[in-house]
Amino acid sequence: MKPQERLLVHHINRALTRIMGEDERVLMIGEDLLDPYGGAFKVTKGLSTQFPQRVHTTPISEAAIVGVATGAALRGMRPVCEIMFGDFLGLAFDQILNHATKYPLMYAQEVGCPITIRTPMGGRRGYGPTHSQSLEKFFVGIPGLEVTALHRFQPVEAFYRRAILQRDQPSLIIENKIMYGQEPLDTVARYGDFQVRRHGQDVVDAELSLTDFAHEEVTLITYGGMTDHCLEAARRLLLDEEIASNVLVLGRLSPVQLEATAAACARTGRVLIAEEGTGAWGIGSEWAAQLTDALWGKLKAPIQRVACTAPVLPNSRALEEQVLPSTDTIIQAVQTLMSRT
Amino acid sequence: MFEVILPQLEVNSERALLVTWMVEKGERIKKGQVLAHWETAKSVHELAAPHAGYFFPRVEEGDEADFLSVIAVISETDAEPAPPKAPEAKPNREAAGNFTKKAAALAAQNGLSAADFDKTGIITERDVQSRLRQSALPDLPKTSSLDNLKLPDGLTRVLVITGGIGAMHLIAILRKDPRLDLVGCLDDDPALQDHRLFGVPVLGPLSLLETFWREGRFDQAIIGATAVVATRQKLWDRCKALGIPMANAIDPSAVLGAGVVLGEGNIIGAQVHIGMATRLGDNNFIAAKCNIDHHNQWGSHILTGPGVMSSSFVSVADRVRFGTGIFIEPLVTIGAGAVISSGALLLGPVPADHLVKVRVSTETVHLKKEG
Amino acid sequence: MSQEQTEQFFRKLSFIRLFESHLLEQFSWGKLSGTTHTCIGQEANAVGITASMGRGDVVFSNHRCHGHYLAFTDDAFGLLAEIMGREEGVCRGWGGSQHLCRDGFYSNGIQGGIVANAVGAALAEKHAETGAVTTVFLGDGTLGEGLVYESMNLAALWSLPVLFVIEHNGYAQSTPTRLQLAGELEARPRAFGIPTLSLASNDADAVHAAVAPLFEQIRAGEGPRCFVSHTYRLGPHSKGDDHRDPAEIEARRTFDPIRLYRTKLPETRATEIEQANQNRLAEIVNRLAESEGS
Ligand SMILES: Cc1ncc(C[n+]2csc(CCOP(=O)(O)OP(=O)(O)O)c2C)c(N)n1
Ligand SMILES: [Mg+2]
Repeated sequence: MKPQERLLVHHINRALTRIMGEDERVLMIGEDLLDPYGGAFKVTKGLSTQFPQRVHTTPISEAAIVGVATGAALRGMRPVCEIMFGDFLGLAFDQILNHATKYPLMYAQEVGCPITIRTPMGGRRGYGPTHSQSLEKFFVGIPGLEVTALHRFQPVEAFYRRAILQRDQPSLIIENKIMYGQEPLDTVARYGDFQVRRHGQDVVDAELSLTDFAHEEVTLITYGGMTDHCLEAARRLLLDEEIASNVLVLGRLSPVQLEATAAACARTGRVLIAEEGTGAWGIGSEWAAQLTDALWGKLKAPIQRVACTAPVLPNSRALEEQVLPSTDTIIQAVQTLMSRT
Repeated sequence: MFEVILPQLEVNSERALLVTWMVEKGERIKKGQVLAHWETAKSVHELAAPHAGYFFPRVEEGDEADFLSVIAVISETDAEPAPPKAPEAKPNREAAGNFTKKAAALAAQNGLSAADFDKTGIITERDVQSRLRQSALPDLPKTSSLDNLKLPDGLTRVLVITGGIGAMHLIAILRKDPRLDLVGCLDDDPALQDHRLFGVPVLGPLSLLETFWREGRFDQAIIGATAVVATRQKLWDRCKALGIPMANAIDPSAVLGAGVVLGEGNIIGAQVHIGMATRLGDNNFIAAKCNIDHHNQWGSHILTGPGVMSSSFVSVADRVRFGTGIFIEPLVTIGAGAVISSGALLLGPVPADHLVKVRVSTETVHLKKEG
Repeated sequence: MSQEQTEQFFRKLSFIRLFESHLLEQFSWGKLSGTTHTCIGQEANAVGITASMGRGDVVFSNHRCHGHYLAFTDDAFGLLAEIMGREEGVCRGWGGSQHLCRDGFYSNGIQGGIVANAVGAALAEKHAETGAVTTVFLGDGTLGEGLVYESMNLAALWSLPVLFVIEHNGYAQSTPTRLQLAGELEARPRAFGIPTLSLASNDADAVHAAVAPLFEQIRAGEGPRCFVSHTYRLGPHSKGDDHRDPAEIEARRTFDPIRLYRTKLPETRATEIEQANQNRLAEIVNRLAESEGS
């Protein structure tokens, strides 16, 4: 493997290649998918050469991409949609809400609609207000939709295989842009000074600890693009302030998979949830509500949330850094957690 | 000399892989000539020479380079330019054996290093404490404190620095040691000049120290001032600047456990007990009836009043000042420069430069005689 | 047209009318809740178009789907039970009047979205090489939805086996065409290169004759086709919400597809069929009434 082929983008690409090779029902539908371009983020590179009949490049029609995939799924295919930037998902919102997810639910019979929508989200690339957002919070509330977020500790192929081949309902997969260029850590038991544990099958929650998974005082819950910031905050909190924390990197955002998370939080009684999108009515809101319910009496302080502080993401990288949650804001929130005990 | 920068070849990566250089090291190249092929996650990019001149690579084939970093230089001459100074190594965040700040301080006080820990990853204060607890008897030199005293042929001549109450205290102890010859005291107080303290003469002001040492009039010194930490430390620094070895003064009634290690210049008062495997630094004054129990780690320039009772595994950093009658729970750590008031009961750590106040409400009332 | 097929067409036409009249009556008695959209006046499309369909063909339909459903599946019991919110309903009471699914029939009450779904279904059938044709029914008002054009574009680009049926009844709910449709309707599918056939007839035979060749062309792999039916809704948009000029409606009754078609049969045969339909509906209604108590 050339050094560059170790990146997460290549792992996703290989997983998709294998899955398409295995099952004729898998289609790729999206904008600019054809080689040599191979998709805006190159996730689908090579697929159109290998499977020319099953890779469909489309006009700029996000609603139709999801709508067509939905129809094809009702008729037995297993389409994978690529939405070039997660920001464009709004155009397909009705297809997700009132079509793809509704058919299996409202027909009250064995009607499957196995579509997978993959899309990159997240900032820190300087793409500005309409190409950097983390909009998953607008989708996690859709009943019948499973929303997962890829992370580096997640075994890649199992993750995509589950959504594409093993589920019969729609799946939305959030891929963080930054992560494409990073290396997967899907098999590691250690990451730097962290020990890594994994909970769950196929869609994995990763739990990381600098100490021993027993004496932590704080649990940091996050997913996708905020992972590295939480890990760095955990390091600094321990090195500088002797505050030990465990970091939970969620694989599945919705429906909420409470068990492992609640168990990890029960050990510490202090919980912080970090997300990159805007905070109000966010991912953290629902997790906080469910965890408060599950851990009532065990929480030592109100659950803290850290999120993007601005209503729009500035184009300037410097301004963007100011408004996106950072290692520092996480550390401050942990200090708040400790002081409110 | 012109530095060739690897351009930002695309927005979705941070670096690229050097597939191959198209020119040789030292080769004379033209402007616009293809220098290299770089591969990103997406495609292979050609890189053209931005200048003419002699080419010297800074990156090897098969390596990755960050965008906007220097990948080669083009020089006006065919002599290879000196390689750039190695950039200051970024702290390697992945390196094993990191200590937390608190752990590092505690480990240093106890002479422990990363090698003493069977652990990959970060070593925490808890790790150091449990390491200390495990080692019932750490590997300490098997010498006892008294062997630390230098005993040249014959008697050791000791000069006492300052001549106040502390010095008298000290002289009272040292007089009992038959191996020592007390040369005299130095003190700036005119009232003390030509006096004798328990038979030991006050020889003159402190300014004589340097001359006496130069003239070889004593072998070791010891500091008598016991009231103010800063004074004691200043005198110590002055002695040490001259390279003067410092004597320990240990009252014969003191009991020192196995494996106790003392530095130099300490005064250990009557009936002090120092437990097994405890270490004391230099220039401390431990007043009578103190108990420093086993596995304590005390630093230097510490002053105590009588009756300071520290339990096991207590750490006391430098320049701490204790009052009288203080109780310290096991494993407590006291930061440098702290001041602990008389009668304190220490249950938890005291940060550096903090004062522990004691609120005692004691009232003296008149006894009314009956009748 | 064989006598047998003519009777079959009439049987279906008059049953759809009977069924939906029963629904409206039940609604006005307060027996049904929610909403319903009858296709009274437009039945010729349902019958004439589904007559070209065979096993494996796929239908996507909209809010006004009862006629399409009955003509395609003949499942009157499942439909009535569904509209009554009964467990025996085709979607066990979850879907209701405008969300039906059975044997390749799908309907959804969101305007426009199904057009993309139909194109996707056609894509799947093409991949699976089943030879199936997917038909999607949409109203003239739904041409206001952008997704319709995204979908037509894709169907044409990918040459998919799909038939777009635009039932142009002159109204979108209360809004007449002149307030919501600019330009020429047929020019829209044609702009995508989709051959488009327009017909102004409520004669189920004429509809069938016009559409049958489109099915053949689609099955032959020639790509999508569009059929525009200029028709008229004689009933209300849903129920009790009709503000059109009664004279306008009255004038259109001349072209009532049931009345038109009835003349193709001898009076006695037509009456027999109508009677049989009434018996069939009564039987369904009874079955549901009986099972309600149990
Ligand atoms: C997306 C959407 N917008 C609005 C409606 C409400 N609505 C239901 S039917 C209808 C009119 C549809 O008109 P047309 O497409 O001409 O069909 P027709 O009712 O005439 O058969 C409207 C506006 C809806 N169901 N879906
Ligand atoms: Mg209409």
